[in-house]
Amino acid sequence: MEMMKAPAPSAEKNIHYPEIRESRLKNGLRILVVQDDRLPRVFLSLVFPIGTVCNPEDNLSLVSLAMELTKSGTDTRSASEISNLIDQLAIQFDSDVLMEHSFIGMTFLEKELESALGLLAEMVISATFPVDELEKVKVRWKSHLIAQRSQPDFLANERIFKTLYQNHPYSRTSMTPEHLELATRDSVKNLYQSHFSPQGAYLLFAGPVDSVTATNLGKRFLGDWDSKEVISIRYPQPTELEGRRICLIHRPHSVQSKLLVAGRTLPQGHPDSIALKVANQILGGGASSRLFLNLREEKGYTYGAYSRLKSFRNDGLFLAGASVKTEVTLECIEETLKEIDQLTQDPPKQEELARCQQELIGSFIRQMETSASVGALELDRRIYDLPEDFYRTFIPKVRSVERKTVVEAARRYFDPHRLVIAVVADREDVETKLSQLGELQVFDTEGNPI
Amino acid sequence: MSMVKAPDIEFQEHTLDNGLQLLLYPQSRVPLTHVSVHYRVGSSYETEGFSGLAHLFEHMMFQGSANAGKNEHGRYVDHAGGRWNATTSKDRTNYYETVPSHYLELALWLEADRMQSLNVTLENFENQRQTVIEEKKQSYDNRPYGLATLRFEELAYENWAYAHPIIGFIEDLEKYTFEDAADFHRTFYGPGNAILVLAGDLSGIDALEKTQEYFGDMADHTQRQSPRLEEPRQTAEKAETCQDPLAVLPAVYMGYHMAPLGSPEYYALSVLALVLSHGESSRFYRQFIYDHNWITSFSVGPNQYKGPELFYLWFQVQHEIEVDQVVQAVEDALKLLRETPISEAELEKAKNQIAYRFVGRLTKVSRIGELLAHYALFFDDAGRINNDLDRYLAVSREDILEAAQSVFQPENRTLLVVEPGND
Repeated sequence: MEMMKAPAPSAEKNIHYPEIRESRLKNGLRILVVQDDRLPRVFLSLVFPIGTVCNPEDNLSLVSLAMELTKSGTDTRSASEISNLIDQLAIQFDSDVLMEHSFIGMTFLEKELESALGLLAEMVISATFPVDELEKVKVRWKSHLIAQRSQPDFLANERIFKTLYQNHPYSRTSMTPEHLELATRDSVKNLYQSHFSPQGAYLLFAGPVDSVTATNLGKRFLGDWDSKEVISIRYPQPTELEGRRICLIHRPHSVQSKLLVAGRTLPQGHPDSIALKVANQILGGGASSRLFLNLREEKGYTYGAYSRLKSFRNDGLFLAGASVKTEVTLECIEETLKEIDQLTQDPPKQEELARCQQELIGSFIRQMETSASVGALELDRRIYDLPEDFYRTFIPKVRSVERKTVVEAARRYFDPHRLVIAVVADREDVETKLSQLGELQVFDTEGNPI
Repeated sequence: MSMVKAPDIEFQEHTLDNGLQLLLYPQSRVPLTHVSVHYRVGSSYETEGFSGLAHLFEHMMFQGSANAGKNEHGRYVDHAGGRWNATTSKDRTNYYETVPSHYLELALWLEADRMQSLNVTLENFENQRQTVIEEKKQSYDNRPYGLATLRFEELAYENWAYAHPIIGFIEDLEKYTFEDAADFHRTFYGPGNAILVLAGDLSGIDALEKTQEYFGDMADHTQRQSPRLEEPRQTAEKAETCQDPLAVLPAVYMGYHMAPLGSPEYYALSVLALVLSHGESSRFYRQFIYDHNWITSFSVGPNQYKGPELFYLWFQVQHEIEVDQVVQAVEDALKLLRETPISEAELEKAKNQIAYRFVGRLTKVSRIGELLAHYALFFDDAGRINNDLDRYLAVSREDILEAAQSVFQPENRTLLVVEPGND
């Protein structure tokens, strides 16, 4: 019986790009507003251009501790009073320190706007860094540091970054219990005071708030926040990786192998980044991608295989990986390398290219759905100094990528001969076979060579 | 207490002649439409020896149908720039895609095609059961506490319907035949056993007419079933200890049988769960993490099944802290709840949090669509989306006391302790 054809799409509808308004306080704090009156709910985010790279080399816990302790006591409130107020106002609170920036996010009902912003301001302006709270945080975090060493994903990721970036700040993915041990109230407080400032920071309002109100509220609550010159962080361009490195992380009793293959690519905002996004989408960007179809659908070796891109101010990387049947670990690596190589040889078919372009466009449209995610995109744009029209031109730029541009980008940035392969497994099950790939470096779950 | 009310969700409801229920929620701010089919089948509909079939079909449903080849369902949606997936729970299965709205008709065509003419073939069946076995390894066998989580439900529930894992037992997955899978499919997958939801941009299209066009002529062969979920009253504590070579810290699972979703007890204990566990000012965070650092993380609350619920408590115990000490402290905290009402301030805080969550559920059309289906499936009343909040806000301190007294009884407890290691 002849197959029926899928119905054609109707006329494409216009995407409404929300308007983003900006103002700037005297102390340098920039206020961004994505007004959205649909729901009585506001997302506030205060973003600092301070990330894990700003840690001193000998202590990777300080930036995170500084951020954490802003909610552990102020001139007028204890840690318990702060947490009680957050819960009383039903604030969904979130803060984190990433590679090159950090944020405090609060989402709450519109009626709590002034209270929530007042609390946020109090936290960042008059944090007292109490020593007993510091000690409590240290104890809590130590156990998380121990627990994460049982997670294959963490172990693979850590090894990739350490191998790709060697001594560069980008290699520092996690603090250690020893770092926590070394942190003192003074070291945390000093780091906070020398790095966190309204200069360079952004305050985003997303929700039923107009820009005049947002600016006035910003002025009222954060206008008195002292502006100071912050230490600017400079770090060199990471050095190139030569050849291929194969790392095995011995995790006893593993019943699968966690496999991660990674290579260096390009920094945020690089002109090739859109073409590379498309190339990655073809390789492992979803369940129609080559890696997924090969390793899962054709061979049944895994529940899912994907690749993704990460990029920072000075560099970026691609990561391709899967959790696979132990006995086919080597085959999965070979297939992954084969797919990477293939992408650098032949241009994709037009149909595959079009699908991947539309996947990226669709994902972009979904990010337009909430004011919070529009605001988050805008914050990213500011942090990485991307051009003003970066998002407004995103869709046409994706559409303009051609078959040959994809293969050129893949050739330039997905080099199958210069990458790191990390495998987390029980060494007894995989070591002999993996040695066929070349020299193997073996580590324990603590990250020590064995 | 002034409560913010989320805007009402105005939806339409229709039933086609073949039994397909249709829920429409138009909202066209962003050109996206969420299309979701919910089948009244989950792991609790399976019979012994056939565990994992509902979940296996979550995979099979992407293996092709009369007009869309193997994996093409996903590829069509990807090509449209949409997002798709499927989920299986104890009580239902859903298949969905969120597409740029000019591809709405494609989504309807795809869902209709696999509802009517799924390729239930031997080859697809064999391939997908291998994938599921790997999924089980990744999601359970190779994760700390993965197998313990499955063991806990088995221990807590006497009724096999809820006791067995959604993903199935490997022995069953390896044993049942292609014909078994085909029978299962015939029984449950068809218009008479499904709810179709269209939420989002429906402008420029007559959604009912289009649904009629794609689904209206389909014959229904399903047999709607309601699994027996009744759980015998537990009269003595059940306790077990197991070892997990992948775990680095001990963990404690506790469960107390309670009334089903939607019962007054359910609302009372859902509010109580927030008092115990939401935020750093909650009772458990304060006592077990902030003050004493006995545990590293925890989760608490009703397990959200349609039938008999379990009030679930999970704790990961800190290094060098005795598990018994944590178990005893939890028991003392629950005893206090049986004896003394929570404070007015605690109740108000919990209700603020619920009001916030109810507004938060409405930020995306996909979420709204899934909620409408949830209320239609579990309560036969999609309109409950607009008044469910009132039931939480009506809970009193006395309701919580009463529920705690009835549920948190020592003989009603199931306890599973997980120790690191494999001696």
